[in-house]
Amino acid sequence: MQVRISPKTDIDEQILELLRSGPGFERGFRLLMQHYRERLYWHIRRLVLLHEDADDVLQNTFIKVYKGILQFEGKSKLYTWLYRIATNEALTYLQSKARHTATPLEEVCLVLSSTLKADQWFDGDEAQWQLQNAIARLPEKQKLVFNMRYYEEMPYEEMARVLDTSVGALKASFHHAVKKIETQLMSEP
Amino acid sequence: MNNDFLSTERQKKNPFQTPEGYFEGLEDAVFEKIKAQGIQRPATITSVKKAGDKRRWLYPGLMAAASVSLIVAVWLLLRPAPVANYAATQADISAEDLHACLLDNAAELDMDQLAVLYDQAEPVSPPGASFPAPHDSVPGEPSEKSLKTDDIQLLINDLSEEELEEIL
Repeated sequence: MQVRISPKTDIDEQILELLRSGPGFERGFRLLMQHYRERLYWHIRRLVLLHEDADDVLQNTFIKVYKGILQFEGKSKLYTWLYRIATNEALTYLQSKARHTATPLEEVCLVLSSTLKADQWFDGDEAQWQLQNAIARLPEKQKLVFNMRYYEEMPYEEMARVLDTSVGALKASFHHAVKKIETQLMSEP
Repeated sequence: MNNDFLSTERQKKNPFQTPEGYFEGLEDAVFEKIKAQGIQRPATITSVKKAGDKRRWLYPGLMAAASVSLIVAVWLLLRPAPVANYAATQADISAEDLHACLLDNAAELDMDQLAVLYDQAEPVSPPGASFPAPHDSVPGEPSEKSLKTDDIQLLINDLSEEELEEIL
């Protein structure tokens, strides 16, 4: 069911108004999913790499949002709030996977990136696979910052709100991430 | 691999794909999961609570303001009339004002008072005489203000012998 969006009002306001109206809750929630599903999916997918995992995490993210949306006070942008939930869900998912297999998180990420080649939903060439492999080796925070900056081109200020850190720290993280990726890629045959 | 690898736009191309129609079916999949997990739709408390919170603070505020207003109003109505400073009042009233006042209230004066008034020098027309009378005057009806020496003489003539003797 497609929900029509009025271009005259801010989409977040429209979503929140519907959600808080009572009878319009489901319509508002559908509108929220329609508007943010792709951005959140790609953000999650770059962290968990496999489509099935990304699908699970995205659905769990939306269920968390469903349960807690009426506690959203509007102190931050809805987009920022959703990004934070999606990021936490993705990291929790990877950590629980590491716990289940009793392997370190970095190891899990490497295994995931190595399986990408065989994944039917990965369409990258050798260079792109190597890049994903290099990203997978990064520490958690650097990986997040690199993806958000390099692929999503998110401004540092927005990123700072999502990750609850300073712009300076983010710039440093991105710089270190780029250096590590370059080093990793240069070491590849 | 060279150092310019990351800056090539080609690498920014999304290498990931999704099954066809994945995003279109996502909403229903989420709602099915919500239903399967028995998650209840959250009650729309937030907006009501917010409005309730405002009212909760508004009502005591209004009640307090109303109480203060009532106390002030009652105090203004019931407070004792300010005690006149006689000295100041006396100083503020000129001889002309006093004379005008006596003339205005001549009908209420007894004979002794009238006699005193009669002994006064030529009465001065009261200030503010140009102002309209406090009530509409009826033509032909003698006004209290038009009390002249002749009128007082007539009043004296009307008195009986005993009354005159008593005054004298």
